[in-house]
Amino acid sequence: MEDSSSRDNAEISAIYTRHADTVYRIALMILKNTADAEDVTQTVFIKLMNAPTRFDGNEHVKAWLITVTRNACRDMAKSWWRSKRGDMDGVKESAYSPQDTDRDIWNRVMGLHEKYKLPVYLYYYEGYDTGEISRILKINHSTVRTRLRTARLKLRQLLEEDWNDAERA
Amino acid sequence: MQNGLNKFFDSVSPTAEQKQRMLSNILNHSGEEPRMKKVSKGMSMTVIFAAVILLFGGTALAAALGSFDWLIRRFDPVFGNLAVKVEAVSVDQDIRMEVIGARRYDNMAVIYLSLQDLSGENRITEDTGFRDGFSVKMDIPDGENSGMGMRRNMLYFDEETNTVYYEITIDSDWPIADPLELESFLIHFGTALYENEPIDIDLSSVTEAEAVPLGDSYIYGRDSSFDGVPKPAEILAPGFYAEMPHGNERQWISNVGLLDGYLHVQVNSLYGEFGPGSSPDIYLLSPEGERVDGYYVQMFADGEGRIFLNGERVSDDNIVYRYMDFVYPVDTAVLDNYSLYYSGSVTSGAVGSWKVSANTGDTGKQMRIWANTVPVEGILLEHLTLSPLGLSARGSYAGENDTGLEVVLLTPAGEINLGTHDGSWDNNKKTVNYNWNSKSPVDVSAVTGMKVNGVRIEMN
Repeated sequence: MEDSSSRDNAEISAIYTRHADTVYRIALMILKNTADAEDVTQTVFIKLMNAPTRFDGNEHVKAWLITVTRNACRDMAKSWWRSKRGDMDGVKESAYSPQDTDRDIWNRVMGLHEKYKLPVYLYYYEGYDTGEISRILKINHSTVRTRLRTARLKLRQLLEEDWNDAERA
Repeated sequence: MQNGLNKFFDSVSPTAEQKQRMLSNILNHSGEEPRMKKVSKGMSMTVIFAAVILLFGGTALAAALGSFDWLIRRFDPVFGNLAVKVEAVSVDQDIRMEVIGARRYDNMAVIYLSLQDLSGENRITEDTGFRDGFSVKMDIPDGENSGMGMRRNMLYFDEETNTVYYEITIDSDWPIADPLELESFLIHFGTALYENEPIDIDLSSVTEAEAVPLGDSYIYGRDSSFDGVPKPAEILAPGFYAEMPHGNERQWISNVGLLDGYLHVQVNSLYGEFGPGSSPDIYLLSPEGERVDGYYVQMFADGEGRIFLNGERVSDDNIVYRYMDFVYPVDTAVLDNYSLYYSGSVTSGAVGSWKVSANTGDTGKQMRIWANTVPVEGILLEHLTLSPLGLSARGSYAGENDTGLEVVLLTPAGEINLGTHDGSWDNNKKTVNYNWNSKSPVDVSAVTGMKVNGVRIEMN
């Protein structure tokens, strides 16, 4: 991919189509409300427009987006504006309306700490291996394995019974 | 568990309306963000020295001066004044690693290091690094986990000698052992890129293919643009169909065929440290030249061909193969109008053992340590160490730990913002190991206090 300091709309749209869901999901998992997740998604792709980074292909773009999304979420989480924004549960329901059975899953998965949620998402849903997650999140390889192991235990305890029931039904 | 997780992650995707609204906002943005300005520094010793090198050649000068003196004079690196000469070498796989200089301060260290390919194959590139193979020895209390962060700044890539020079800064959860011991079990040479490479497959000859059932449990990586396309009940049976455009034997087209009226293209990759990227970009070009992306399903297999759906992949230890089964929403009656393309990357590297030990001298006078307990927003910072490389802290907390701690050092000449912490924390033991890296050496003796999230801490 070319070295670009001002990517055109066609290129941004193509990258957006492929990766907007990933960026939005990570933002929503960290910030827990849809309005902030939308803001972060937009911020991340606007940064991409002007990023001087030379990307080594689609995998590199995606890894960059994940890193920038996590940082943007942290910036937003610290911001005064967000703290004044109001009750997040009210905002959350405006766009995400889980069924009663799913609401419990939502609460429990979202209740995990960010350090567990992100490795779980990248490993199970995006299919990254632990080495790749280590590089993307910039944490030690053994730490990734430990966090996945801990997260699995937590999730199994929290969710397995619910899901087993749901899948049998 | 996997099925429930996928359902959950699917459910937190944006709606089509949200996606369109966000995209409109992005494209309507002016896109004018502050640009970095280049600062003219005038002619420094570094520039003068570079001119001398042009006249006499870097290699000869390095030989005359010794690698440490040469590197410090040649590059005038940011933390160069802190480092002491080491010049210790380790060679494996025809790769020579030299620790040229280094300095350790409790939980932090700076290391000047070079990597050179002695094989004549010029394997070292400007992208060469250690990935996650690098470690330093730490004094870790029994029962504790190790944790380490590393920042790598390339100083110079010498094409002639196929050598790359780095400034590396380390921060660790526990004190770095004295003498400093560092090692790596792998070196990543670089990444070859493949952009829009045609895959040599005639899609007009594709027919119904043998399939394997997916069952209820599978990883499902498609986005919401495929909402109208039914989820597949089966994917292609793995085998060998064609080579990938990169020709690397660690990844191949394992099958192509029609299932339930949809075109499937399956790629199989061998697990391992190096080779083709694990997420190849496989797409179609329409007769009009428009790109058509598929969604994909993943599964894994061990060396004996036992298939693990993603939820059964409890660790990477027994995984040998990763399959990606791409599904394309195109009219299969006119497949001869479409062409198959690939974009991706192939990494190369070596697995071995590179290990060096270095005594970097007494640094006690350049550090200040506080053993007092300092409460900041629910976190008790119990042991702080300030060194020329930055600040590190150990501590504990109650409840949830999701507070970013920002540190500003106070000096008579002004404030030094070290930014927000890096490091790790343990939710079970409720402990933290945080650090704040400085962008330039800190004059520890000039620091009169600090502010942590605005909480002022005086220093006696």
